[in-house]
Amino acid sequence: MKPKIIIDREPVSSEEIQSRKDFRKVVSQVALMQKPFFKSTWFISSAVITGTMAAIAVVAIFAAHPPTEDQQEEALISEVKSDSIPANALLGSGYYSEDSPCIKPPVPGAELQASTYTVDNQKGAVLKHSTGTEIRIPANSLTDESGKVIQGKAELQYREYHTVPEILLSGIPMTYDSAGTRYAFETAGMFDIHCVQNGKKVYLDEKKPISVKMQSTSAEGRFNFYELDTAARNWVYLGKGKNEAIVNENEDVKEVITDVKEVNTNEEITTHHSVQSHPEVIKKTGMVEQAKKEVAKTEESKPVEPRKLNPDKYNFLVNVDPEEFPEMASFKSTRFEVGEESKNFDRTWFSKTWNDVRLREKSKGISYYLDLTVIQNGKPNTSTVVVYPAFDGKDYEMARKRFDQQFTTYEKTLSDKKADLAKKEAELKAEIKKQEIEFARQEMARKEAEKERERIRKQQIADANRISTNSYGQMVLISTGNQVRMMAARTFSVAKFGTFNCDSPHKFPSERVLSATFSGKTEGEEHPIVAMETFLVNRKTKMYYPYSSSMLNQFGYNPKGDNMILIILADGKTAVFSAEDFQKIPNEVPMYHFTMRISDAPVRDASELEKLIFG
Amino acid sequence: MRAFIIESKQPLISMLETGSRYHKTERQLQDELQVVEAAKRDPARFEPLYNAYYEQIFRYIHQRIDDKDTAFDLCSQVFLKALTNIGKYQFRGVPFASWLYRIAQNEVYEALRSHQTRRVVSIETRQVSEFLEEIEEGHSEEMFRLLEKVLPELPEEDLQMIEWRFFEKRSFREIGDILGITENNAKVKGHRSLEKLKKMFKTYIPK
Repeated sequence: MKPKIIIDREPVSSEEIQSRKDFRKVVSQVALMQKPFFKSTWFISSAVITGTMAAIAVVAIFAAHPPTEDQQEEALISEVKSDSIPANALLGSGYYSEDSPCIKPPVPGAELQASTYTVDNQKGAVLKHSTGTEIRIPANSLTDESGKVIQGKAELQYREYHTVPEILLSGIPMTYDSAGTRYAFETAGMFDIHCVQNGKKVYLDEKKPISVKMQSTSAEGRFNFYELDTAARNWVYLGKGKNEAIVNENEDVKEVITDVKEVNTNEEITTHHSVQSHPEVIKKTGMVEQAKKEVAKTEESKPVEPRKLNPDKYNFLVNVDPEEFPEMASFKSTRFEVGEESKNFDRTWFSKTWNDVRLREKSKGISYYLDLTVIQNGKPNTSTVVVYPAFDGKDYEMARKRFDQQFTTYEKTLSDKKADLAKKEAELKAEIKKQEIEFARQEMARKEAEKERERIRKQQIADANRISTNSYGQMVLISTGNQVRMMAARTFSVAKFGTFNCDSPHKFPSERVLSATFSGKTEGEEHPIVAMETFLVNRKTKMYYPYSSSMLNQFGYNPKGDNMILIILADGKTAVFSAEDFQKIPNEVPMYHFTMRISDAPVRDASELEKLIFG
Repeated sequence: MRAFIIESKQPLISMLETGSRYHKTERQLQDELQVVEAAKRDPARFEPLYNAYYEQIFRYIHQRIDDKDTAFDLCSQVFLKALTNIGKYQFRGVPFASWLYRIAQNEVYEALRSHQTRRVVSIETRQVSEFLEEIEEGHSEEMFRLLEKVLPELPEEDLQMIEWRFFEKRSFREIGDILGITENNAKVKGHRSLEKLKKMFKTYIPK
């Protein structure tokens, strides 16, 4: 057939090409294509010698016990295992997980153990898990496989995961495929719940869902609810949308964030930044200021001693407007002596006819300006002198008498005001001293309260650890600071048993991408590492990204992150590429060979893994 | 065991993804050879080569057959055969890619022989224009249609050469490496294929 010419054929996208890559499959097939031992020269020559003798016996046995398909498959797999990986390779745990269940703990026995609760199906139950999670099981909600309500008691197994090591050791897949894009999960709490009766699996009546009020490490609303589909090996999003059978009533997920636990002491403490800012001190300071103003005002009103007219000095007799100058209203006539400072005074002024005369206050009751104006050539010409009011005869006596009375009153008032000021200043001083003592006491109380908060917080964590230890028989709940601090209770309605996760999906990092290969050093020798899953842990964000072997050609990480790589080997030992080593990766390299540090002993539990990862 | 540090100053992938998709410096060839030698001892070490060459080998196959899924299958076969026979690979001073192309070429022929798929020649309009100018026939709708008619008449060996040289813009050196011949020999073959095409063109052009 002649070739067909295709013009401008639609190209296949790089994304599609990349998505079809499957190196592991190629590696597996290589083993199958290895020349079988029975085709080897040595075997054929040996077979010729022994073949005839054994032929009859072999045929007889084979006819009696033909191999089953499973046996053939097993033989095939064992061949893959023996030939596809070099003998000196360090195998990661679960490397052949295609033949294993969806959930396969990488180090059997190191994962959290489930707590078992006995439930009387006819009564139902409200269970309180060691983490504080509350599980409500309605009466007659447990059924057998056919949907028939079981009678009597059943054993409900419940397990809850919160920290990276707990989840990592659980073997529960923590990636989520959505529309072809793979995401890593950040969890706010994950649990699996199962039930058995007399060793038989028990099911849940979907019409009578279990309510799980799970204690969560995060109160944030960005987390969704997922169920692990163990058949599809993927998480099923149970967010808002279709009314699936898995969920109850009219919404997929009921998320109720309640009961936020904040550690508080009972003592209500009001602290101030300083004594001066205390309201009582502020108030008393104001009163002192007011008293000072009163004293000053009183001093300003000090009566002026009347001046007796000096016959040797020039003076003016001015008709004073009593409304404008009330201080002189009571006098029949007030004279104004010309002050000696008025050098411009000319005695001829007394013989002049002035068009206008005005008195202006210089110092009330003591001195004034006298403006004398004459119009010359149509223009005003004003001469000013300083004058002092002075009294003569009976006016002086009356003024003196009034002054004496006013001065007595003034002195008394001033004395009272000053006494009031002194009193208020003393009160302020006392208040400041009082508040200084109170401030010191508050500081002490605050520090005590802080210590108490810390003590309670540590106690809570210690309690959680102790509870976990007692429940599971081993140290399983890891605590670093707030890591296990429960921030909220999230209530989920679960209509079948399985594994559920309150998660937020994250894209894999892509700030820097390279093709990664791994080897580990043991006893001075370097061995290749072949692992199904390689965990990139960002210690800063406490996120981890499980890279499958097929993803390692596009191994992405954020160079700004506090990264480390962890591989759990088949023998339970760990292979680690440290954060310090990460800093040594040259920029812009397209491929990198990670030489991992192998632990001396297998990891035993989450606490050990916690220490390994977070130090 | 020796540690294989693959990051080099002129790394494999960046070289493959740049304009010079094929040619390599001596250092680059040695780096690539290190990966190949590692893969001989441990198949898992073949992965960088798989990742580096998968797409271009796929495109090479897809250019020549009409079914995408078959192209993917053949591509997998190429790498399977490469990995199975990696122990037999001998470095001859040319890039590893030439060996993969040779396997790919064989796989395509095998698939055509067994009628699994149909041979196609995938060309872009732009390439046709450039090619017609190259052979000094000028670009017109008529010549375009004529080329569509003539190309299928060429023997496979010549068609392959035209594809490599003009539609895939491969150098004679690369073509020589794939065919296992010298660069000069590839030039001669290329020239002959082009002359053959021109001659066929002339038989179709009305006088």
